[in-house]
Amino acid sequence: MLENATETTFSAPQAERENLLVRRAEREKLRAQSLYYFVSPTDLSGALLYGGGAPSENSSAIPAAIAECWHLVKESQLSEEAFTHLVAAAAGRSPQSVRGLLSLEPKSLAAFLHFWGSVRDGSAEPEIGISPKGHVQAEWTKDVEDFLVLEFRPNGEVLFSLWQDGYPTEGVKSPTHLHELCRMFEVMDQNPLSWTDAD
Amino acid sequence: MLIDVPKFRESSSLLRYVEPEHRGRNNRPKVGAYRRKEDEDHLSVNSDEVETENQIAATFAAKFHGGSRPVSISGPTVADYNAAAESVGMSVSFDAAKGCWVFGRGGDRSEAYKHRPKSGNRSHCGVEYIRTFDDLSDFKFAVRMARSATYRLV
Repeated sequence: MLENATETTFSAPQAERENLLVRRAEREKLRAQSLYYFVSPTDLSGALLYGGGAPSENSSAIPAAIAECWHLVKESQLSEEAFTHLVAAAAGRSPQSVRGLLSLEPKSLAAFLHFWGSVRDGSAEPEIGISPKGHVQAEWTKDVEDFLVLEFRPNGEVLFSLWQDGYPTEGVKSPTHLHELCRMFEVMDQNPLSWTDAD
Repeated sequence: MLIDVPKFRESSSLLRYVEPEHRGRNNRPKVGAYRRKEDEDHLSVNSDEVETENQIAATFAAKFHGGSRPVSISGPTVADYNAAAESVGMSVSFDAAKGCWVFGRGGDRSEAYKHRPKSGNRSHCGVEYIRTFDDLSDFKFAVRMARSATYRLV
């Protein structure tokens, strides 16, 4: 009995260490292949190995979803204003919230940051919001009749609503068909991702 | 002239509380302001036929802001809601016999806007047809609503 207890006590951390090493090896492989880099909530310290400067696991300043996507956030080059807004919006959503607003979904944030990373050059920074379900929404506005809204579901699907001269084109795109959306934007007179009504 | 039970006249406003995080540029609410919340089977709004905007703002402040003002409020009209609903394929019409707005088709019609008074919130109403929307329709409706009115700090 005592022997079993002793085994349990020491084997769990050993397995954890092995898992950590496996996960690190997998991350290295993904990085080498330029695929996206995900830091699990239980392994934030691992991010420091790559000089990412990830927040500590117990940091109360950075909401969990943002901490989980720290490397993507860091690479996204979001403006200080957008980042501050995102942090404030996410931080305002505690699990105990009585306002019906769910916490920011890390997979939705990751989906947005991947998209943003792929279109950032030549684009205007969107207004970023979070839906009540915790999904990231990005809005580009030229004027009252011309604007684009994208909402990123955690499964990678994107809801889109593109308005040109007051007429909408709307729907859902799966992750594998997102390029079609970008192609549609590119062939327009003016790419809606460049729209902004910021001062 | 305030009344006890709203008639939902087309020119009346149904005020929606706008979370600080949903305040967009140029006083425009972000789309999230009109997305249905997890705990809503209707869109919570307040009728300016029953209470003044100032009274409604006080209710929002007490409920969401620990009593502090100002709060941000967006106030599209019933006509704006009707137009947005029609635009996403929801039929809303005025039933003269019942004297209310109804949604749906044929014999299966329900009240489109319902007075849902609560303790300390007597102008509270629901936009009822949103519970029939799938996620894409809810998104499209929210886009139209967010773009149909600005918000103001009251």
